[in-house]
Amino acid sequence: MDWKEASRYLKKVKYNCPYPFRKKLIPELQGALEDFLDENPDGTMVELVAHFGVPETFGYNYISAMEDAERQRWIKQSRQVKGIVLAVVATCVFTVAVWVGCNIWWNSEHAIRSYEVWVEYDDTGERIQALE
Amino acid sequence: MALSEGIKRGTVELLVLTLLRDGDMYGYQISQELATRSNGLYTLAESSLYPTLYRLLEKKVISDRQEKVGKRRTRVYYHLEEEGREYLEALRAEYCQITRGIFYLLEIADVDALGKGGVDGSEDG
Repeated sequence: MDWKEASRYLKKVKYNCPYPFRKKLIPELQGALEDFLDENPDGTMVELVAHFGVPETFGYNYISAMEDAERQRWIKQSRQVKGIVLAVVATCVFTVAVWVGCNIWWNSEHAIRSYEVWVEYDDTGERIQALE
Repeated sequence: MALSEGIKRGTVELLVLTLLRDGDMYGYQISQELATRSNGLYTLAESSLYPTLYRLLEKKVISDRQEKVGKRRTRVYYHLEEEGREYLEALRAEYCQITRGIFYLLEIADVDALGKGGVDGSEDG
């Protein structure tokens, strides 16, 4: 097995691991994978998975291994983050909607109206007719 | 098996700190040592090891330092702090007390009997 296969494993772990845990975990896991490859140059993916665990369940195992209080804190934090993101998105959508609405109203109220005017003069220069 | 998973979850802090008492180690080394010293009976997936290490770091019972190995590999070594030694002793005492209680309940008089599957140190059959 080469590093290419191991990095594929690492990518799967990264994909399945919640974002806040990746920053510290992924570089450390990368080092551990390199150590594993050094010790087992002829190792297979099956052996790698047996040692490190199934990549798809890595995030789940990580969260399961947390203490209850730690997990609750993480859930609370992620809910807060979700709430903040939702509030920001809602504010942006509302602001854009208000801005578009105001623009439509302003344009309808202050739009420059154009007129076509025909003015006819007689030979002496006297205006004889103006049409709108 | 649910029981072994539960026992591992409850003892991983104790065992990691016990290993670190003998010297600084990095994550992969800890998981290897756990398997080696337990004769392969206690294996821990890396996914369960790292949250434990990070929790111990947060509790400030261990500290970490990065060391460059080779050109680009960086290893994170974990070190048992003085507070960690006290914490380990407390965990160890708690574990021994609980285990003794379980042994009484299971009527296991001798630790060697565990391997043979018998009780009171006698083999079945």
